[in-house]
Amino acid sequence: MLFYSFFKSLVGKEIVVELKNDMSLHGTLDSVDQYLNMKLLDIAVTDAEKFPHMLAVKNIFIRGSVIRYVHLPAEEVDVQQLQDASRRDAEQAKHSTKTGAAAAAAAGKGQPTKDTRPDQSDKVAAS
Amino acid sequence: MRDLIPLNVPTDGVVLAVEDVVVKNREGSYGTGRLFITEENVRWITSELRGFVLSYFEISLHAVSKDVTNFPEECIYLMLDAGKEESEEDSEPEENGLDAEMNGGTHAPEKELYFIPNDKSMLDSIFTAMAHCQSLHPDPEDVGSDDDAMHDEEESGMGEGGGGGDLTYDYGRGDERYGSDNDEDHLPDNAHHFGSGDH
Repeated sequence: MLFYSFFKSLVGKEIVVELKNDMSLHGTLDSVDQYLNMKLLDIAVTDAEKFPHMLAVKNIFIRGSVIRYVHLPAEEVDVQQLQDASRRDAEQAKHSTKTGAAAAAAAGKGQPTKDTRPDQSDKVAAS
Repeated sequence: MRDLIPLNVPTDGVVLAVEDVVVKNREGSYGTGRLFITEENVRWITSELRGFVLSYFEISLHAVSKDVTNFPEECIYLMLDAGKEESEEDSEPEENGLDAEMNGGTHAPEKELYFIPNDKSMLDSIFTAMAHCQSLHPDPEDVGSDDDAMHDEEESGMGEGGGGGDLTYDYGRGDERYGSDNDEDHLPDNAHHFGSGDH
C-alpha cells in the first residue's frame, strides 16, 4: 500500500511509464489505484515505431501489471523520505506477520494483517 | 485475425453494452457487432452470434483515440498482450520468423484492436467501463503481496549492495507524506515520533 500512497502523491505530476513491451509513455498521472493501474493524460510516446497508433491517443488507461518502471520527477520525490517509509513499511509487515494470529502468516505465504481500508478510517474520523 | 467462435449474449455482470461497433485490427475488419463490457471480460458478438472474448489480463492498455489524422476514425484503441491468454501458441518456435506474422493466422495473435462505435458519444463510456472492470482483475501475484514482497526483500538481504547500513532511520521528518492514509491508526508506537525531531 505504500507505493499506492506514494503514487497518489504524484497525481497531477508528469511521469514516464515504461512498459514491459519496452514502450515508454510520457504523460500526466491522472489517477492510480491499489493495483497501480494508472490513467495518464496528454501522453507522448517516446518510441512509436512499433505502435504508431499511440500517436493518435491522448488519454490512456494502463494495466498495472504491464508496467515495468515508472520514472519519477526528481524534484517531486524526497528519496530519503521514501526510503525511510519503505523501511518502516517493511518493519511493520514483519511485525504484523510475527504477531499475527495465523501461524501460516509466519511462513510468509499467509495474508499478513492488511491495512484498514480508507472507508473504515473515514468512519472513525466521522464518529 | 483471430477466429470468431459461437458466443451467447452475456446476461450477468454487464457493465456496458454498445450496439453497432466495428472491430478492426491492422490487417482488416471483423465486421459490425455488439460490444459487451462485462465484469468478467470484454465480448464482441455479431448478429450471427459469433465473436470473441478478451480477458482483462490480456488488455495491456486501452485509450480513446480521437486524432483522425493518424487513424481515420475515432475509436477505442486496445493494446493486447497476446501471450497472456494463448501461452501455448506463444511458446511455439517461430521458424519462419516474419512469415508467421505475414500469414496473419491464429499463430500470430494481433497486438492491437480498434473498437469503432457508430455512436461516438459512447467512446468515453466504453473507456470508463473498461477501466473500472480492469480494477476488478488484478494479476494474482499483485493481490496482497505488497507486504510479503517487502518482507522477502528484507529477509533475503537485498539491501546489502550498499543501501542498508548507510541509511539512518529517521522517523521524525514528517514522513506521513508517503505513509498510508491511516498509519496513525496502525502505528501508535510511531505516532509520537512525528514532529518530535525538532522542538
